[in-house]
Amino acid sequence: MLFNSLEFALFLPLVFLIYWYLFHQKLRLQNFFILIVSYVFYGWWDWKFLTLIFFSSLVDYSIGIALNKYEKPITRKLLLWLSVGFNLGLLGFFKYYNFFIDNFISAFTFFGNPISINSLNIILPVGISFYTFQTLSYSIDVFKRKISPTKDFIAFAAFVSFFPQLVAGPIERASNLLPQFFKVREFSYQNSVDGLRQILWGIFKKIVIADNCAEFVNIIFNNPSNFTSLSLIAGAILFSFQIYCDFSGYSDIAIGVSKLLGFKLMQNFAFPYFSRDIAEFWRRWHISLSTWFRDYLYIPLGGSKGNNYVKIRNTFIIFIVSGFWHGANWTFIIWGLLNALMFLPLLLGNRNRKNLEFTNVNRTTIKLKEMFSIVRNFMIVSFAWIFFRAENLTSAINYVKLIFNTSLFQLPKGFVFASTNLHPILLLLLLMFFILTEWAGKNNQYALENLGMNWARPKRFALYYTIIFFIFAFQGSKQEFIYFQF
Amino acid sequence: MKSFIHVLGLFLIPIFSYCLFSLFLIPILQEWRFGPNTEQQISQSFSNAINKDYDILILGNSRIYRGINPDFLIRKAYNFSHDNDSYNQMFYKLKEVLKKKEIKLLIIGVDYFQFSFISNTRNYVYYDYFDSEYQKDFEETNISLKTKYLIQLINPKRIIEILKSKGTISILKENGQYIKPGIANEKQLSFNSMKMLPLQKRYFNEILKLCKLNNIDFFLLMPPSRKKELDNFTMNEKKKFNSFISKTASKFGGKYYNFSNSNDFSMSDFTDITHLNEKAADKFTKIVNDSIKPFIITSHP
Repeated sequence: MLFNSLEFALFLPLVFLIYWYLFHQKLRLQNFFILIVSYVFYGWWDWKFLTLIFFSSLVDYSIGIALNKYEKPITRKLLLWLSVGFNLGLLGFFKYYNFFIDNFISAFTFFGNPISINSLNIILPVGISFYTFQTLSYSIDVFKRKISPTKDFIAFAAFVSFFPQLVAGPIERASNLLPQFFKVREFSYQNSVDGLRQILWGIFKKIVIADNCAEFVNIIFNNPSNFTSLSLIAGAILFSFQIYCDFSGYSDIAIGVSKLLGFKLMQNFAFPYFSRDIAEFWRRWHISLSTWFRDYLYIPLGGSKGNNYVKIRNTFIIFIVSGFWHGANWTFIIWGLLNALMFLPLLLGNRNRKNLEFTNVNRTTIKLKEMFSIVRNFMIVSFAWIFFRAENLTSAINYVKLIFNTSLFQLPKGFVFASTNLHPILLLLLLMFFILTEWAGKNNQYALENLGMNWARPKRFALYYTIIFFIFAFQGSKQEFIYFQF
Repeated sequence: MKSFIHVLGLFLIPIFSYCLFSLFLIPILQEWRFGPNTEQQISQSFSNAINKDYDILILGNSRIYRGINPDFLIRKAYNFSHDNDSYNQMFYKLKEVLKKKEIKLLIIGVDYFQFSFISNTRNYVYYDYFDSEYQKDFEETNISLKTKYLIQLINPKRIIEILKSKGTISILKENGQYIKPGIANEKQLSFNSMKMLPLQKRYFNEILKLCKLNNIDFFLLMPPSRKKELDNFTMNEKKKFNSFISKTASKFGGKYYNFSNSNDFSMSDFTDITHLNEKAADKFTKIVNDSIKPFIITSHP
């Protein structure tokens, strides 16, 4: 079920009413209800994969209990590796099997020993990268005795399959989300209104900004040779907006829906495009994944402690693995590699933690120098996104080559966008509205969180109606959430 | 909780009112300003295609829908084309017609871009008229398509379009031809591809097989095109395409007429980049009639 579908528009109010009216203060029933509706939500896409998520929950639940039961370090280690092997095995089979087979075949053929191994017609289960990481973090935390394992399977299964964040995150840690399943949840007017505001902003980002940018991006990326350099640069910039609004829009809806049900999920995006360097960007982009890798991979490897060799090795490992997590394609690996290369100078020069505080915390205006840093960083990030968006490595390199040719100073041809829903100028105006709103709300969890909170109700409602009008009037053609494929 | 529902209800009242207003009023206003909508066009066409008495059935996309006036053909004919139709839709239309009646002759539209697309823009109506088999080629369900249609209706852009319209009303004639006014200009451009989708090739063959099976004589017809549209394709591409269509037509015992380069038509004969106007459609139909008449007189006296 997609967040931007009619099914979900009917599903959510129904869940909300049953959850609060029928099961209010009945914790176990509420958890059971969450489990059922989460399975309905997931099964809507393909019910056959429900067995996978159920089995995954069962394995990690059992391992968690066993980890608590056995004290011998070797047994505990074996149990942990069983969980790691199971979760990564699942991910490896469904997501990476064909990638490795194809690359083995290419490598053997290249060295003159062609081999024949059949690749399989595997369907990637939606959200597998998200929930396997969530269950994996549970086993690791239990192993490290950071949390106690739960004996309540219903609560654990509901934690793994919690529908708002099941298919595209935020990837929650057991230490944050699981305890919320054991606390009686009270309805909060403020939380619910806040949740609705966040959902509204998420829908705006997805339907108005991401989906409209996608139309232009698809035209440009599908036929880059038809475009001048400036148009190709515009294509890369628009993709930056598309992927941000698509993914953070999803996170906003997920967090907002969770608030409606009395849960608090972690912040997944903290206005990453207002970052002044790549290190700051990575502290603000897909926070639940980058902190996951930081805690479970980077720090165990030694982090940024040690000599330069260790620092360089760990940086490459974390960025390449992070790239590879996104998909079985060399484009993602190169994207990770590019980010590592951009990050390294900051790390080696001890400048990676220079910009910890948000830019202009107490001001709405911006210094020229800061603005320059933000724009420069945005352009660097957009450049790397080209590799993320391209179908394959050849297309990405071709795209970059086409940017740096003689047409660099020719104006883009507007007529090629005749088939898009929106006029390019209108998209530009909507982007400006979006950037200004995000800038105004940059010190909050999401842009609309405190915007207009001290206004009178009619004025505040007028703001929301305006956003709803934009959603109705300027909706792009419906696109799937990009991160579903991961 | 109660106050939350109360405030939310208050907030939603204007939105629901607007939606209701749009759902009921917009179709009426649209018909008043633009003529029959998609649903009305398809409904009328299906009813006429099945109930009317004729010998020649005409299938094609919007270029045939507007470009052929059945009144100028030698035998009674019905134009059962629609905008964005390709061979999958034509196949299922033909199947529906053959369930109810016999036809002797079939005119099928061909375009250089005809095999390059699978359109779902009218599926929210087509799903109700075609075999359920038709839906297998598409991922979207009937409900999601109808929802999309309803969402389009409540789009405020519709109201702006209606307010801005100059009242140039389209007409769907009883013979199935669709008349949409408009004046072509030099600035108009088209971006079409000659990609041959396997699905459309398969349906193209299926149509011709169905003709053979039911003893229907068929004519493949490419209407006149503006030079700018033809510039989308290279000479070599066009040659290859024409050879493919000619060979396939003769394989199934049909004839292929390509009028895309016809010198009898200029920019003033078009309403836009691709469609003939009413007058030019009459002229073109007469030319088509002259071409197919000798065969019809001998084979279907």
